[in-house]
This record gives sequence, C-alpha cells and structure tokens, in this order.
Amino acid sequence: MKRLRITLLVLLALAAASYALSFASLGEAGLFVALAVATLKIVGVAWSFMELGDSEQRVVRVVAILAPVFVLLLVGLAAADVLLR
Amino acid sequence: MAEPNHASHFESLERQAAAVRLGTWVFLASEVLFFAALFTLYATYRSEHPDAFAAGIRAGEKTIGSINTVILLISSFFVAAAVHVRREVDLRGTRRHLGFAIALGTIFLALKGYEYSLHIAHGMVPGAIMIEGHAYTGASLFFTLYFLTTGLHALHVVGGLVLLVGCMRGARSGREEGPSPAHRLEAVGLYWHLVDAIWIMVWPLYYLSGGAR
Repeated sequence: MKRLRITLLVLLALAAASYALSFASLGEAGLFVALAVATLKIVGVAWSFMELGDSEQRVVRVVAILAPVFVLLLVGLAAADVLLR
Repeated sequence: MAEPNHASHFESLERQAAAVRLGTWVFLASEVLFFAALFTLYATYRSEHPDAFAAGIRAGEKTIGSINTVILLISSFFVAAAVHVRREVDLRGTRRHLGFAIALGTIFLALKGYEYSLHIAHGMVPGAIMIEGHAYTGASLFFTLYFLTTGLHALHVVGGLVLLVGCMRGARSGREEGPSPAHRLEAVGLYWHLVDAIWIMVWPLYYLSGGAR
C-alpha cells in the first residue's frame, strides 16, 4: 500500500507539472514536452498500479511494451509523411 | 465462503491466474491499438492544421479536463488498493476502495457531460468551423476528432464502472461465484488503469498543448 500511495503522489506531482508547463510559451515544443511527461505518468501507472514491475510472466511485459511501440510507429510514420511532403 | 477452485482445463489456480493475466494484457493491447488509430488521425490533422488545433485547444475547458485527470488518477489508486486488499481477503476494505473508485468515475462522467454542454452552448460541435469568432480551416476536423476521442473514452469509463460495480457486488461475503473473484478483480482493475492511461495521453493532446494565451 505504501508503494501505491507514493506512486499516486508522484503521478499527481507530474500532473501538476504538466498543467504548469501548459502556461509556458514553448511553442510547438510544448506538445512534445507534455507528451513526454504523460509518458512518464503512464509508465508509473503500468509499473506500479498495473503491477508490471512485479510480473513474473515475461510475455506480459513483452505485450505491454510492444503495444505502445506499435502506436509510436503508427503515429510517428503518419506524422512524418505529412510533415515531409 | 468456499475456497476458490480452478477451472477443469487448468492444472492449478496459479496457471489459471497467469492465463487470465496474459489474456487481459492482450485485450488491453488491442484497446491501445484501437485508440492508436485516433492518435494517428490527430497527428496527421494537427500537422496539416496546427493553428486550428491550437485555437481549438485554447478554447476548450482546460480546468475541467485537468480536474478530471486528477479524478482518474486517484480512482486508479483506489482500484489498485482494492486489488491489494482483496488478495488479503479483506472484503470490507475491497468494497470501500471500489466504492471510492466508482464514485470518482461517476464524477468524471458528470464533469465530462457538463463540459460537453458548455461546448455545445458555445457552438463547438463536430463540423463547426468557427473558434471564438474566427474561421479556421481544419476546425471541423479538430472538433470531430475531439468528440470522437473523448466520447469513446467516456464509453470505456462507463464500461469500466459497470465492471467495477459487478466486482463490488461480488465482494459481498458469501455471494462470490466462479473460480477466483480476486483474479476477476485484478483483470477489471487492469482495464480501469488502461482507461486512466488513455486519458493521461488525451489530456495533453486536447487540453494542454494549445500554447500560452
């Protein structure tokens, strides 16, 4: 339970950081900064709340890592196609 | 309460639990890929219409979206805590934690409904081309995608709430059925955390990345 509480506090701190950064004048870089902080939060949720860190099933970790990798490929290649036209 | 038994086609309860866990993760991966299509559309359309997307985000309800983020994060904590105490066969604690999570999920939906009503009142609906009095090429794409993504996410929240209510009812002493209610709660908990994780990604895309006013 202690680990869950610490995770929650870290997640709330990261959420506060995301909110504060949204008021900074970062231009288009603001989106990437916000997504980087969001990725950290998702890792925290997956590792602690979803117990990925405790999982003894290696295949579960493979599935959990492959899904976002495919998302990155899909989104990244689609955005690159538009930007490089 | 009877000791949970594994289904006949599994060698042991541990093997069954491992199968449930893997099956749930594969299902969650398919959900991630489902939302990936929407994120891909976002990346494509935002690359083509950066001004319309930035204006649409600035015109949105950042405060409500941010409160909803905090609500979902805390609800995820309560679900994780419920799974934790359920393994210790603390049914009362399980019900209490699930009750908090369900209440927070309901508040999330209520706030989302209120937010939609504000959007509709301001003419920010799918297909609209005006944002705060200015016409933007690509505004209709932004609003359509916004309602599609957040609407589908809200449907997932509804589904998660139904499952959580089922687990809470099952946690009443002596009323549990099936081989292992703790494993069922664990699977439902994983689904709820995924719903939270998707919102964590939706929040910066549709609420935070409009740039400073």
